[in-house]
Amino acid sequence: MKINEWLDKFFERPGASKIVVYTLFVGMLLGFGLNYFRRSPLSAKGFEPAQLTANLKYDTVRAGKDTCVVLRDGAEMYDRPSAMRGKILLTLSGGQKVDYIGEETSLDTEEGKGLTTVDINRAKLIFNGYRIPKGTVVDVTGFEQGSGRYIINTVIDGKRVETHVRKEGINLGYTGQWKKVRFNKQEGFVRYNDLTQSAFM
Amino acid sequence: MKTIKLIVALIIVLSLGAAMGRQVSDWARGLGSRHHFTKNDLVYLEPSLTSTELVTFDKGVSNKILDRIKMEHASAVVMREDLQYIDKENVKYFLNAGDTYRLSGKKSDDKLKVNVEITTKEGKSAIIPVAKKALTPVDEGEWILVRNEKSKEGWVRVKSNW
Repeated sequence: MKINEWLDKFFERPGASKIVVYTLFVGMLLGFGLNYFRRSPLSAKGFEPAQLTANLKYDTVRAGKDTCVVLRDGAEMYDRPSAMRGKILLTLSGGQKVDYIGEETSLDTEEGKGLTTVDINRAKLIFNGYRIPKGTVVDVTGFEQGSGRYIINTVIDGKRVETHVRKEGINLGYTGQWKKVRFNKQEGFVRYNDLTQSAFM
Repeated sequence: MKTIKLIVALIIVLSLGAAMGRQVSDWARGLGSRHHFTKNDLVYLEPSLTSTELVTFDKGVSNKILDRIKMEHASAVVMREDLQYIDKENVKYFLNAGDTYRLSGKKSDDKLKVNVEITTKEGKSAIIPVAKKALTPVDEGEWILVRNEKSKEGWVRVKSNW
């Protein structure tokens, strides 16, 4: 006896086997569909990706700047780490805060040197006069307190000459370390000892 | 009586069919098969890196896969290492290993980086580009729920597109 005939006989109804088969098929479709599509995007355990981080507590970040304080009024900020050839961008006041960027080695490498910022003409009555052009690197040998002038000497036409020059007439070299800083969105270089040690604040 | 017998039988057959259909869909999703733990597999209570880590799973043992979830995009990340970032204004940001941050919806121009949204301790917000290799996504990739021989269940990430 075939199974369909047995089912028809068992349920005492012709065609009962077909109803059973259809019901089984419908059940399978329901089971597959509900199970497969219910899980997308949810997992069977009901985890939804967006909810996993919805209540997450995020960490905060420590942020700030390395800052130096200007130690004296009139501290110059240069466009490069050189007091001889650098251009003064601005003059800082004592107590002002600047952003510290880093340290730089001076471009002025030799001790006791200076750069003339004006033409120096010396006319003599008996001997020939001489002229030290602006932009000449000279030896700075001293400073006269009384006149407030620097004593410089250099070689002109094979002869070493010595003369005095006002402060404004010479840029003294600075061979120490520089601090690269930022002030009012402008970057520049300040002499190491014109600023405090940098601090994170 | 005949009708009642048929109805009862049909309910049983319908349930049986539903169970079979469910099993077929599980197979289609790769559930019911087994996952073999490797040494590096970390198991969590939920499919998220910030969830509780479960240490009751033995490595090298196979576990039955009960569930599976796929997440295309991460919304949060955990720092793998300490990072210091300096912005154009010379502000330094210190991101610590193990800390969790939100991922920005704004994509980075650099494919190897993502934008991370941070809030400073003073309450200021900023977006910082961070190399993907320095981060682990919290909620990304394919995770499976496994059950071990002691009937303990946990989630493990098996695939990541990070």
